[in-house]
Amino acid sequence: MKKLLSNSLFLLFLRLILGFIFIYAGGEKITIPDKFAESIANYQLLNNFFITLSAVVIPWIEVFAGILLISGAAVRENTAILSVLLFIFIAAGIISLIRGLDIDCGCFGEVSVKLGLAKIIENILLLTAGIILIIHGSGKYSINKME
Amino acid sequence: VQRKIYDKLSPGKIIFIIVLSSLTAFLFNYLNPEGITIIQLRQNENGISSDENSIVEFFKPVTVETTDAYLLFTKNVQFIDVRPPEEYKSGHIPNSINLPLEYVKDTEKIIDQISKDTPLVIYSSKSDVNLNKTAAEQMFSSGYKKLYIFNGGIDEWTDAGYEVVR
Repeated sequence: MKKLLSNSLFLLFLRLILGFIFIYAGGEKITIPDKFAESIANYQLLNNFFITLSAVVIPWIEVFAGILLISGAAVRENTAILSVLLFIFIAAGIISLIRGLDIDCGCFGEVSVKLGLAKIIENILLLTAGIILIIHGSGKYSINKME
Repeated sequence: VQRKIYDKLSPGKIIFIIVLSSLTAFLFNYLNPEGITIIQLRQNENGISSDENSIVEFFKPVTVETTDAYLLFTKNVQFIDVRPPEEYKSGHIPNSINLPLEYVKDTEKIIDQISKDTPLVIYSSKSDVNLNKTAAEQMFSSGYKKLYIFNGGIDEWTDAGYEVVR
């Protein structure tokens, strides 16, 4: 099992999956910060300042970290950033489900995805991939210029 | 293992990536015609500014207390009374418009009267906060994004000694 988890091809596969998902998610939200802000507001967890700040900054962090992750630069650091985001998304999702909110997750901009148990499980799987990458790094398939 | 991972994680790189992403985000947002205002200057936490025309659009209706409601009243912000006509006639905030909930449902009728850019304060009586919520949600979803809810309503307004028209 340990051999599989540290296999360079497997690590590359995880990087590609995590990277492309975040590039797509961030890219969908970058040009429509007002819509993303509305999605964040629906969670009813932040005040207006943090809603707008998150709506502007998070999509760019997702895209930057996603690109660097695929290229293999600073893999542990980028995965750590994305894992923290995933942890926040999971926590916010669970809180919203407990509060009985019927909302879109807001993950992919205008693409409507309902927040539910399936979404939370999907994020937990991505977080697991992130933890594997933090532990084992990029593997040999990376540009490694920043490492 | 934790120690090993911690040693391999560079906080400097993490900060660099976050700062670089954030700077790009702020620059893009500034240049983007669809960009949003992050820091709303000249406004308190309820978004009440010194100038009613500069009230920005909210992401959900903003609830205000009696003192802030009065502040909005002094700035000539339009008040909407969503109680039934007979209750409105028994006493209401000066210059408020009576728009009972059954008419709020019919948004076309409101559009004829009030521009969607107009800041509005919705109120009823203190015991009718659900009436405010329903009306605000309906109006907000039909495009009124500068919406305040005054849950204290006519009761707290009267208790505070502010003017009431009968």
